[in-house]
Amino acid sequence: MQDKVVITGVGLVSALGNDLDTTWKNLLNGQSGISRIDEFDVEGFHCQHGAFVRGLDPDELGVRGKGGRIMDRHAYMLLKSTRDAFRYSSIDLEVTPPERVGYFAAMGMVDYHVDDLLEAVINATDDDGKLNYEKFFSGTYQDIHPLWPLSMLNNIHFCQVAIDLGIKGESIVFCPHSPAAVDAVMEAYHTVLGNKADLALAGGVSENISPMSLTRASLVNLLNNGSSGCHPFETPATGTILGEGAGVLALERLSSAKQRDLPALAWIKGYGASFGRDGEDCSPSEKAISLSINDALTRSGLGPGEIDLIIAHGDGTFDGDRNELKAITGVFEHCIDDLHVYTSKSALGHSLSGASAMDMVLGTCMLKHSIIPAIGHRYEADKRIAKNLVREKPVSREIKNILINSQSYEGQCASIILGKVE
Amino acid sequence: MRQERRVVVTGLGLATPLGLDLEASWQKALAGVSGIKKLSLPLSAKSPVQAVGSVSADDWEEIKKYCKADRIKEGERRTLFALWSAKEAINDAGLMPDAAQKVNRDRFGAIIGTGVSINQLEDIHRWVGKNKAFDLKQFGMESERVHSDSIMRYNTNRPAALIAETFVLSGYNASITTACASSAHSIGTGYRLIKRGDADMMLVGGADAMINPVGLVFFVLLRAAATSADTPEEVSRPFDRKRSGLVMAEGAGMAILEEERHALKRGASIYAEVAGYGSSMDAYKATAPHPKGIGAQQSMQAALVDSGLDPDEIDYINAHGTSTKLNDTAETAAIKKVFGDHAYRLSVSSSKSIIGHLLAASGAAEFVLTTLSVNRDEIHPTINLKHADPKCDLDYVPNVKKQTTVRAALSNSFGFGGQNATVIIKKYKEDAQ
Repeated sequence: MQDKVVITGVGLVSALGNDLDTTWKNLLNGQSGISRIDEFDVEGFHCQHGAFVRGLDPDELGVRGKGGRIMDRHAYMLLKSTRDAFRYSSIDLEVTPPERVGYFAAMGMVDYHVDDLLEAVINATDDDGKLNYEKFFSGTYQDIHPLWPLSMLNNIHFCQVAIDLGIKGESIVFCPHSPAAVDAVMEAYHTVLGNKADLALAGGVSENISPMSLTRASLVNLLNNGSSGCHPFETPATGTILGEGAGVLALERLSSAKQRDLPALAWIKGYGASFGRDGEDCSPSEKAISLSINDALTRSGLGPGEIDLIIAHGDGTFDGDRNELKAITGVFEHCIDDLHVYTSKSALGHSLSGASAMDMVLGTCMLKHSIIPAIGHRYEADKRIAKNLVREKPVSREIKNILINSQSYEGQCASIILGKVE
Repeated sequence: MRQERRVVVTGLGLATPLGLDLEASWQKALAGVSGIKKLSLPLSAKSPVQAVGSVSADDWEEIKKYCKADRIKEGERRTLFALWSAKEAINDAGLMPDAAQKVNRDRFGAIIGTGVSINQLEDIHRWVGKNKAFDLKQFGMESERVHSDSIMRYNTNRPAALIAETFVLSGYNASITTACASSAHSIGTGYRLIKRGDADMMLVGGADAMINPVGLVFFVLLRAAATSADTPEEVSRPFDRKRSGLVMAEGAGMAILEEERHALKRGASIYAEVAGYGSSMDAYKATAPHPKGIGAQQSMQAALVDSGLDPDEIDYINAHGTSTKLNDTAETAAIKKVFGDHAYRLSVSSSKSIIGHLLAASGAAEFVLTTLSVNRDEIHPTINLKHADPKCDLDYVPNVKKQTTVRAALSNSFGFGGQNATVIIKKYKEDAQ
């Protein structure tokens, strides 16, 4: 009989706490990590709110020297959550060779800090105010720090974490939106299932919320410019709020976990991934999302009625929520009454490449504690799904199987199913 | 007993400094015709880098003509390279939506490797005030005016998305950014998806375009670029004692990977079989590869184990061969460690000597050329190899192509940060296991 792949370690950093326990406690208490942006002057921006990760101190993380010059806040999030998952799973590289530990992550777009390039630009500007690339090439480019280019490669941040932990196995960096973290976990799953590694760390980290990331999201009308919240499945949809965070899982074969005498937090039962969009919509189509969910169900051997909870993508955008809602109500048409639907984005914002990884980590908590946090109720939700949403207070119920959805803003989507290990 | 799924290559496409036509590009590579030219970007006469591998202006016009207005509006340079070479590969495989026999496009996916997104400085310059400070408030108010090539307009998954939309690939769709190993990881991941039954056909490859103001100084700042004023065609010289750094190039490479029985059933022409894939991390330094190529060894060994081939069944290695001091000696050391005495019997060549370093697309373009070597029993040379380096003492097929049986070949790609990927391709035999 084929072995199962289980999760034996988790790490999470979010706007509600720099570790899993704090985040989970704050979620159950109904807190939101979304606030007015004070990390930079946001006065000119249409959307002025975000869910920032705060207080990750590079000194406390032991990041010094060249690492400090190369790494940025998102790298610290990945470092902290990967370390936490590594320790949670009691990974010991004296026992498991570093070459047998894989690492797979989703990472977002890497934006520059204006200050890193400003001097070179100013010095390349002529008296008449024009940017003179001849001046730039003649020497002002040397005003840029020689390590700056490395900070623009998102896999460098990932590699810094691998160096920190000393892991050398199979690896990939997927990008740049939420389905990428499901892609990362899928590859980690098969790497351990196919015995190409004994253990694999997998997850995702958001990009930093910055003037550039706000602009990128704003240019395609994703953001909620009118209020301070992210309201999944609101009617009418009001847009999303960017969040920061990272989630990492430690995966291994069930036989390995038993050998190491480690409890399995969850069993990865199935996954699906697809592409499709309608017209000029940037979110995936209903058809694509349905295909992804159905593929995950087929691989897991589960029927729709066996899913107890959906952690929806639910980002609060018009296209995203509309298409996901249609897909959910379509696939689960005959069993929707018993289904609960949760989305973390109302509390944690949309962490893009980190989002579904964070949801997977939170999913292990829901399986463990048999409780679903509330997403808040201060808005009107679409009536087709309102009764399924956990709104006012957390719901206690037995949860055996969770479906987690993720969508990109280019048309990709992916789903994954976590199950309780009996 | 369930028969193991095998993965074959049924389509290839290129857009490189050698041109847009696969066969013509291959013949140029065999003849050792360099695609490296003097930089012709406007306002770049004083760029520290002057030798680059650009897609020619005529070829760029042809690509734009094919892509038409809507795609040009949606896709920046690398995306259009990706669309062109995807079209070539899909057409080569007979899988165009309107031409293919009925295939299930939900089982047809895409994985594309892409690279660095920042390419110009106008988005800073435009909002620098007279006080020489960046006016963040004004930037926020006018952000819709960011440059047409801005990092804020293009996600790294745009090439994969536009390809999937254009050619109706409704299955798995992903994007990978592992620097210069991006497209090798894409190929390896696509191979595994098909092998394990998650897809029947995958378009895999990569695209990159960094011949722009930021790209031109990117590798100079990292002290990895060749800044030689020599004849451009001679600046990329992997494994030569006088090599002085990488020569940046642009373009895309794509391949159609397909499950063997699926390909046979529809009568597809098969170039070769993908036999194995492995990847690794150096976990050494973000700034340099391990001097003994430990991670490279591990990656090659993993691919060999995956393929089930003995090291002496590999007749050719398409090296990462960047023309940097560090890579070429470390890669040579790694090859010797993995292959022992056989390292001196097999052939090694670097496509980068001819087409330059296509960065995130390099592994894909080199996979295409390596597949042709296996298919045709010909190996393109490493050009500009004139001065022997005692630390690089293998048969690098110097300057003149070689005609020899290539039973199986291995293609290496190593990314900044220490991420390594190796793909093995072997001759396809219908009844072989």
